[in-house]
Amino acid sequence: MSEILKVTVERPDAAVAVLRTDGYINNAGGEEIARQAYALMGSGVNRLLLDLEKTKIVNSIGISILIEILEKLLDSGGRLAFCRLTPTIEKTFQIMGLAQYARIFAVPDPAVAWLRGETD
Amino acid sequence: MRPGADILGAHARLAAIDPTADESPLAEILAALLAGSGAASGLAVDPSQPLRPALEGVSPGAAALARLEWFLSQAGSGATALPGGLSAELFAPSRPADVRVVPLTARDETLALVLLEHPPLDPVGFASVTAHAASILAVIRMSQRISKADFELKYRVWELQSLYDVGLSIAGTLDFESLADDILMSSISLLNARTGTLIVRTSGGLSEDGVLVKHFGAPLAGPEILSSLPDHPCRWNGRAGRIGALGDAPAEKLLLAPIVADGRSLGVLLMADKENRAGGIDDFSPGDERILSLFGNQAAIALENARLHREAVEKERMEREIELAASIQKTILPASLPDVAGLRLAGGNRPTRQVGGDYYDVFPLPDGRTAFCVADVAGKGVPAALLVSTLHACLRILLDTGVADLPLFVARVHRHLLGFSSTRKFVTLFFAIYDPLRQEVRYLNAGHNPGIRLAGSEVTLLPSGGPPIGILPDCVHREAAVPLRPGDTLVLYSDGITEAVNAADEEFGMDRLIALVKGRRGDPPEALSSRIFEEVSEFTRGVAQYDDQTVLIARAC
Repeated sequence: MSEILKVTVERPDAAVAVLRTDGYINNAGGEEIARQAYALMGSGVNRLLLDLEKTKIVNSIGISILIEILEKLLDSGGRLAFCRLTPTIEKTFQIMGLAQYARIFAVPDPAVAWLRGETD
Repeated sequence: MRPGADILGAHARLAAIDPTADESPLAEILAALLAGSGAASGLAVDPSQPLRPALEGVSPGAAALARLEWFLSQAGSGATALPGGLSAELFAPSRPADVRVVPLTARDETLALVLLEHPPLDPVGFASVTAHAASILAVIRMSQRISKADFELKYRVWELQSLYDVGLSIAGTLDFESLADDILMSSISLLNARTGTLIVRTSGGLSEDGVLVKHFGAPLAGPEILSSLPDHPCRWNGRAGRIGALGDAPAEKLLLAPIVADGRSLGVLLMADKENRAGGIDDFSPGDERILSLFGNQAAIALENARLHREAVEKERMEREIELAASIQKTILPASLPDVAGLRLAGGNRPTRQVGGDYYDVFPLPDGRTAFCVADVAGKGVPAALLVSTLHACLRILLDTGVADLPLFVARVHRHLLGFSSTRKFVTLFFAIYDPLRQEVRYLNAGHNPGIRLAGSEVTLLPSGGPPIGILPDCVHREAAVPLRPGDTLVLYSDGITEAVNAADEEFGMDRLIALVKGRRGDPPEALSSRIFEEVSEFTRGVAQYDDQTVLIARAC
């Protein structure tokens, strides 16, 4: 895993976007996620899944950026979900409060279904 | 035209501000204060962000904003006024003569400075507007502080949880390599470092060269740093003063924590470039140093645990092997020696803790003769015990086919062992056949200690007639014969007897053994055998012996 984060975006449908990260979610990594997320929100997509399968490390600055993204999504009536987190990152998200307003899933499919409003 | 002061309108504007919104309310506050003052132009600035003022009817240049930033950085949070020249400059090009600076303060802290092109038309009403605006800013500032404190608190919980989790991992696994990853990643994560390196001595097992190196991002150092490690944590918030091994480390700022166990330096944890939210790099703090040292301590504990575990596993393996080898040896060595015509036999074996490969046996032959032997297999433990077992089986089987020719017999044993012993182990063997009719012993000594023949007080040594068996494909062994008349004694033994050492590192030796055998020649074989073991024990008192001791005595009668 690199310390430089890469983000790829996949659109399962018009309402939902999946952002797959590969690398360190730090200041630069968080900014890259925010750039992609805000671009999607600007085009009307406010239901986002962050797939962190290839991210093994996150720092507090990365988390604060994720919180900013989450707040903006909630303000716009959107939703944010995470999937494929390492146990360490999942525990960190729980502690830092991200899991309070975003949902965490083990795998992508149920996360996408929740974002579409198909499940509670 | 000068607008009039709209105090109620100003309050209404302020009441419409949502203190929980993310966006700064500075522009709305400026608009309210302009309405409340009757001024048409002005600017509002948050002293903590002087380069992002709210503007209405003015457009100060970059130079004026830079001066404003410098002034506020000097004045701190207590600034309540601006130098007159700067105030006018911010309104350039109009440069009004009576710019009014209005500080919005709460608890001696200036939350914003509002600059109006002229003093308020209704000072009393305007005072209520500024108080209202200050209270809104105070609520927002308090909310931001609570939010920041909440984040800090959660961060401390995360920090403690990480240390706790690493501690749990240490208790739950002995896989140091995986723990090293956890420790490195947790350190980088908690310290907001951009990159990190962990280097530890592993004393075998984890890597071929005994050094485990883990990097995240560009390597900060190589194993050579282990030769020049400081014994305390170090912070280098610049390039000056770094130790030599970090001179070229690709980082502006470095933090180092040594990994030390029992006063021994085992390795190092290195962190580089603590990033901040603005995209820059902060100095590493004493608090960061403490955190990294805690992770360094965790690494030391994990390494020590891994080492102790390896030692325990090895000890257990050796003990199991010793038990197994002892068990094999016990089943092979004769529980008692047979009664045979014309010979009185006695002997024994004293295994050491490491269990070697000594072997002795006696085989009554169908033609009335008696074969007997003492052998010593090179090596220790199970491999040696298995080779002894093979030798034992081989001798038993081949003896059933008869021993017409002693060298030929030993050659067949030799060939068999050559095929078995893939580990190139060899066997020294003293093999003898006593013929009661001829009152003679024919023997073949393959690389073993010389036998001792005692006839009266005359001692004859029966030397080796060839190399040990089981190792050289082509070798020749010579047999020999000596008389063994009634009363004569033949003493065979292993090198565990003659090479037993005492506290002064002296060997028991041939001379002591011969003297003992001569001096005790009147003793029955059983007593002589026991006496030899006793003398060796006395000689080596308190010194651990690492070779089996074996004695076999045959006296013609």
